[in-house]
Amino acid sequence: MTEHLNQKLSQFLDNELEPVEALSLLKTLHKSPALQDKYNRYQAISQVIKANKISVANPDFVAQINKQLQHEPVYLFPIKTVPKKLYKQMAIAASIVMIAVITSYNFAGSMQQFVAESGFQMAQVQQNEPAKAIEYPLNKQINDYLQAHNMMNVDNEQSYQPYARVSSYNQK
Amino acid sequence: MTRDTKYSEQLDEELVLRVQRGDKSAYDFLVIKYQHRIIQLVNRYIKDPSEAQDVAQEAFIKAYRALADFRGEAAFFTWLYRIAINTAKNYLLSRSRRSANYQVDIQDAEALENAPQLQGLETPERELLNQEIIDAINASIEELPEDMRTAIVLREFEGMSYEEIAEAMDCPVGTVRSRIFRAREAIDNKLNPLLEHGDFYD
Repeated sequence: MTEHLNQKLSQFLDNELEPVEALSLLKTLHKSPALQDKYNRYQAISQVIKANKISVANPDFVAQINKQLQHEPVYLFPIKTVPKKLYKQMAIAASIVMIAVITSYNFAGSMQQFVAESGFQMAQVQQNEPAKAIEYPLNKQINDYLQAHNMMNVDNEQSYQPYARVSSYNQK
Repeated sequence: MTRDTKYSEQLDEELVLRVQRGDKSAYDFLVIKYQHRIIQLVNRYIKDPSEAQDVAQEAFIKAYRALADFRGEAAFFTWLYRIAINTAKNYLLSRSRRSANYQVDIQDAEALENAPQLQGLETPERELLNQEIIDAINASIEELPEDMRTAIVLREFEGMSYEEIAEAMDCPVGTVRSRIFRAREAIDNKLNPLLEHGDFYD
């Protein structure tokens, strides 16, 4: 375990540790004086190789700063999650649009091919369909029915209920 | 941007965000990460080790107070580096005012930094111990096997990334990682007994 931590420390010193692992190591470092000593010695080695000089932090360096910052206000900046969410939503929307475009393109392509193959028959169907829709608008019938039965029944026990629902309940 | 710089900046970004969202302890992590580099930097201006530590602490405190204005336009370390330099220069200026009682323009700090009367000197005992540590480290490096020595020198002296070292040494990145770690451990094993009775930190 110690060997593993020391190896991570060595990587951390070289900025070769992934941020998540580095954060975890920093938490351990913060709590472990032995690991902090190791960190200081590794730093000393690094400084000697680089510049043949040593200037290592006191063991209580972090604690002293922490103590002095105790009376400082805590920052409470708003969490900027909106842009990230927006990016996600935009990505989803873009994907949906892309799928829709590809699907409609393929559909249009296959329709054109079908029309080209069946030609005259297709034209006949297209001519007949709108006429039926005008003569027998099914949606219109349903809408008329719904509007006609869109009254509310006032009942002491059931309060406001759609009329259709109350009548069906009474039938039961 | 190399991978090592990217990792470091990503971590800083995350820690700064945490501090700005109320997690004060995340600032300790930033201090742990940068304490040595900031002390080293301040030491270039102020030679006395204990004074340099105080000024480095002041720089970190100033940086915390200024974090409200940090918007991430520059990398955190660049920003912190500037604060540390200004703190060190201001310290030198205030000290020179105290001793000579004359006004100095802030730009003069650069010239002042090399003036011997403004630089503290280490005690002879401290200098001796430091020299012993430096000699021990250098001797340990000489004793390292060739592959380990090359890997750690390329990393520390040339500042090469693991990937670049792997390419230069014609071996996998994992091998480089292991060689550098084993080199550090070997040097540390020689260094540790020396530090047990010597006072490393005073």
